[in-house]
Amino acid sequence: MDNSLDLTKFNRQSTKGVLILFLQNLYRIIRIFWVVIIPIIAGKQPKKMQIILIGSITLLIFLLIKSILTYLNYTFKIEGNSFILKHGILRKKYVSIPFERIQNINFKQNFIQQIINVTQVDVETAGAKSIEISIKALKREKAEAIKSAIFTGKQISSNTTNTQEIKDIKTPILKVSFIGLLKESITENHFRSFLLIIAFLISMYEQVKNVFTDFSLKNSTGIDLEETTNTTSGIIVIIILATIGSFSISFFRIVFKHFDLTLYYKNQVLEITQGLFDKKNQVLKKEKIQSIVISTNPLKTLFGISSIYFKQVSGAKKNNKKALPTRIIGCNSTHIKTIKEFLFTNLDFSNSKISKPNKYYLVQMGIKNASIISALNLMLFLLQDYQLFYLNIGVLPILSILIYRKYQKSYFKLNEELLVIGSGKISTDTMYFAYYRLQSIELKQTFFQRKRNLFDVVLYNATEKIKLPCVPKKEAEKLYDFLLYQTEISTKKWM
Amino acid sequence: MFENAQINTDNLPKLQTVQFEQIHRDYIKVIFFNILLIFLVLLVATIVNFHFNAKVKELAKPLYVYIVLVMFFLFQSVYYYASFFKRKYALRQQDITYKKGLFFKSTLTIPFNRIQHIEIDEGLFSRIFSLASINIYTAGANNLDLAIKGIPKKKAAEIKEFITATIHG
Repeated sequence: MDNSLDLTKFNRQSTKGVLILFLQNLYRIIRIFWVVIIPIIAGKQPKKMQIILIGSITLLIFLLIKSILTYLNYTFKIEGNSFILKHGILRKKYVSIPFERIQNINFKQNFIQQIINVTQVDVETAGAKSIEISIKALKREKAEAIKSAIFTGKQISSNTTNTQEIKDIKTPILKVSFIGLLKESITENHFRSFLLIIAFLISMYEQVKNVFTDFSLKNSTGIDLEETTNTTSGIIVIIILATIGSFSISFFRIVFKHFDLTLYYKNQVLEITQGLFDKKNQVLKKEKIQSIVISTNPLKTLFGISSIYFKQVSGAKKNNKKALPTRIIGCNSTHIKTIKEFLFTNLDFSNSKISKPNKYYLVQMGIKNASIISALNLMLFLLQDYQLFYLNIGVLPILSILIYRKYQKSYFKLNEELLVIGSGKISTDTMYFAYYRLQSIELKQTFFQRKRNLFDVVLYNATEKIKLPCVPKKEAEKLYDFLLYQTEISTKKWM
Repeated sequence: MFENAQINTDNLPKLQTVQFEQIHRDYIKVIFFNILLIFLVLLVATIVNFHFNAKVKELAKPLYVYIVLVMFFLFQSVYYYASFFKRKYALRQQDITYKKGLFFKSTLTIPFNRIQHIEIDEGLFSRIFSLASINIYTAGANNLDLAIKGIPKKKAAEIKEFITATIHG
């Protein structure tokens, strides 16, 4: 592997790739056949064990040979302006991808890849159903070499930027320490996991109680356990457990996903590295980012941190319908400012008016939620579960507050370049959306909105649909015409 | 050269002033064919069920089921008939707009420079009346973004030509 950095000749993966391929194949087989495998292993019959042993050894050898062959037949190179890949053991495939079709190159490292120190390189292309090329095991230098070769090639071929300008300097923007991760996990929105855990614990509690009652019925001399299991202390225990549970869930999730988060600026792109077991390196290109959302909540504001979501078009989008936005955590106001200034040119909103939705939006949400709640109540009534009616006392005020908060937090404002959309209930989410990212626009009006001359303005971009609720007619029409005009005169690449 | 002249937002082209065109009247027949087809399928299914499955008869009286079915058919026909006249479209130099909806109105505009591709689609019934539908795709979150159904075939082809020429011109 001496001349390993010459990308114009056919290259192989790192020899360690055999191990990765082997483990992947093994994992795949176990995943498919675990239903069969577990009973075989569990039913220990010495005679059959021999057959099983021989069988599994044959299988392992077969997998090893397959992995080696896959490894030997998997070669790639860079030729002119395209990336070329040859692979396949029996059926040979020759894939050639021109640079301009390559959207993104992402580095990944799962646990094993980290141990043996290789990097997985995923090459994403536009419009592809899934990630087209995934090279499982490369040495870091080689991975970097491929990436820079492709990006440099791209920039030269599109001749938009002067090649002189391409520098390989990484300018760090943000690095999140362990304390930062801790802060983030404390300030997460715990409501959902909290409720889930409570539901889980309550069902467990009921079951345990049932077991105890059965037990006490059989054991007539024993103490009546149902009497002794105090309900209030039970509730307190459940709440404490749920609180600890939801905190630790979000803590582990944050640490696994965002460990050692570093964001830096390099060659006109943002690069993110993060993850504990699954180390990921992601490239965020300015022209691919459709919008950003800056999200914070009261607790986070206290610590002065927010998250930024980057919504980016990805080739893999069609495969899993909801392509998750890339999230970075632990940004303070300076980080946010740097990122905003990197992405947008005009951030001056001093002349812009904040537009709130019409009050009718409150009515609309109220009616919607009231009908759901009454349907649920009706169900309880029909099921004759009158005890659960008391839940209304807790649910109704919370729901009303949430609805009001949602109304309070939704607004939009615009300047010459950007549309800023506020939303959120507990959290405060602020979306920044450049006009020319628009794909299509829709005015919607229900029967009830017509009486009040209100419209919902729906904006579609390449990643999502954004609703501006209950905008008065005049304003909605003006916005409609303005956004269309801005999109139609734009000659910028929008995705 | 980079220019950034101020825009007078009052002088922008307004959608309100655009003349909308109705889709072809014959298309209502296509809609009725479709509704009728679904009705007939449901009807046959119900008849078969009542005839051959004694248990179903115990669950509901056949008469009621037929009444519900017919009511549903009538309601659907009236609704589609009424909303048919709300289906309108308009072409401008830079974009295409489609309006629809009786109780839930919608107006959607797609700028030509955001269109990925266009196709003309002729359904089985539409072909009898030589009508076609124009399907417009953007790279947006929802894949098929706009389908304008019930446009005379020739006109549909012209519209497609016009848009394609604008995109590539």
